[in-house]
Amino acid sequence: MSDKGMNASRLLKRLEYLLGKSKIGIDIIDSRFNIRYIDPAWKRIYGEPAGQKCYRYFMGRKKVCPNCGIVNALKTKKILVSEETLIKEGNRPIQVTTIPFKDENGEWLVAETNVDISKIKATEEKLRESEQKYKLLFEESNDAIFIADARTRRLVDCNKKARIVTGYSKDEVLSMRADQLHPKDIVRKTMKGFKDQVRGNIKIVDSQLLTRDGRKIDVSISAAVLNIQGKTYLLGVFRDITEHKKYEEILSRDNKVLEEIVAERSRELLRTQEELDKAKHLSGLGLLAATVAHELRTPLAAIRTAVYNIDKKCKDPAIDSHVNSIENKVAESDQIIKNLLAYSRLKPPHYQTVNVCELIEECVAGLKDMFGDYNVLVYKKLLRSDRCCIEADPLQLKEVFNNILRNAYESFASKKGKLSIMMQSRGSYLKIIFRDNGCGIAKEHISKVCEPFFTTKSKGIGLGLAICRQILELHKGRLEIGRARPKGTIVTMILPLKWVPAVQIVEKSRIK
Amino acid sequence: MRMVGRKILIVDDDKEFLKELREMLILSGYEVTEVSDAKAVVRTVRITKPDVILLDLRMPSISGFEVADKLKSCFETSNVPVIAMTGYYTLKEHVWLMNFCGIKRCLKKPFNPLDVIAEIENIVGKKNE
Repeated sequence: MSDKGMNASRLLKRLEYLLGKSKIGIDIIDSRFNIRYIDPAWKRIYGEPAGQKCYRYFMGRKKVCPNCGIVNALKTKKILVSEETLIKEGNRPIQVTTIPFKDENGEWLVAETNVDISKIKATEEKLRESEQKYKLLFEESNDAIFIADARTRRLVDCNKKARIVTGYSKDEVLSMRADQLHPKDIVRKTMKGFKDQVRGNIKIVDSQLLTRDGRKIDVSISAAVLNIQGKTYLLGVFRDITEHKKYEEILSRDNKVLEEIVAERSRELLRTQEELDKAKHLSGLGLLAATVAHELRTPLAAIRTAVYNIDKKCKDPAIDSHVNSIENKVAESDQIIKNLLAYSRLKPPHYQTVNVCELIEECVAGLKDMFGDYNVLVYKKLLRSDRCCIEADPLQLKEVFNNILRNAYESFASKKGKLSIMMQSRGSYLKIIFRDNGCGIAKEHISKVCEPFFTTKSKGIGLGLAICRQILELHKGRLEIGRARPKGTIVTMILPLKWVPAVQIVEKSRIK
Repeated sequence: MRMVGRKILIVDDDKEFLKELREMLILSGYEVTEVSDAKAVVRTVRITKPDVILLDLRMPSISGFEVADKLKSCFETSNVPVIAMTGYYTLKEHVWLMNFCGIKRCLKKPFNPLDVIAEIENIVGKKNE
């Protein structure tokens, strides 16, 4: 072998090595299908050709393969690329590049390079499968899907559901623009949403879908921007939210009812809290009253005993009047303590049938006696006696009337004035209005006059109206105090005609 | 006619009141022992063996009810009649509690000194019969 031949052989070896590594097979075949050359990789798998024709050697066939690449390549003298499957290797797919060439003797041969494309084939298969899957997803989706050109807004595709829902055929859809899918009144708003979706600003737009026969369907449109071959498309998934809306309505209605219930409960809670606070205040007051009573009564007892001792030890008529004064003042102090205790221990009313008119007359007469030197014109407009009988605690009501009347009398600084007492029947309530033209109550004091221990008088500890208010509350009634024009005070008492048991009230509020 | 020499034990945390009450009772012919500490009552009763105890119900360390209950539960002191003195409690309201503690009568402060003597005589007189 010449040097040149040596070099060629080495070169071939190197080429074969490289081809072997890159898994590319190579062979040279003449026009009569004889195998002129075959690389070692083929030989390793298929054995020596030993004069076999190529169709026999590679494919195990007895005749030339149909569509034989070699025949075609030799005829056209052009490189041919084809795909074959190797039957002997379980249909392994290969890509064959058939290159016709003339050898040094002028004979036409073909060189074939064979590349394994099984992996590419598998990928292609997978791709096709997934494409089918997606096509199915698109076509069989339970939501109507439209695809529109983002620029021209022309519809380019839609799925089955879209056709069913709208009633349009595919051709009709393809001739439409996205605007035509929505009712006229909301098309502008929806198309603004379309623009925003194309820009990627928002994802979901609530709108309506106009069907072929003019029905409107509530939909929420979620969109995705698609870029296919340089063009931008918007894929819109239209979800029917009619049912959803219905539920939403029901839900919102339920919510409202619930909110109302909650609000009512909160109000009730607040009322309870207020009552509780009041009770706390009262129990605090009760405690205070008890403490004050004890703390004051012990020194009073000491004073009384001491006075007794003084009187015993020095029988002096000169100190008699002083001893009397002390005795009187101790008694007066004890009376204040009694009032305080009375307020703090006000008991539930002892209900009886009471003639309010008679009770008022009695109290007015009593007050006139007490304030003998006063010149007060009392004007009474009372109801007939058969209409003013109510269920109440007469002693407690008397206490209220006396307190209100006494306040009125004391408001006449010049010891003269006018006092009117009016009664009105209001359904299940009785309204009694006392109006005087005395000195009245300062504006800033109006809200405080019913507070215990609030007083502007020099005498008393400010429990009168507090007791009145409490008595009325115990009767489930109300006491309102206001300023009269041009001067004076209006006191309004509202009393239920019948005894209202506490339990009944609770039940009523529950029924509400 | 008052029995002279009757022994009275007075119990109250107000010392001025105690002093005046003692004076008043001595003026009326009684023999008086005073205690201002409620804890010392039972011991004092055992030593002095009074005919009547005038007991304040509201005291800082132990309440009069507790004192009365202790007296009742002790054999030596259980027979001594107790008259309660109080500024707040009334017999009507606490009838059960007073009965439970063996309190026979209750005086409401500020009482008239003559009422105290009347109560004492009422109880001691009954006891003698």
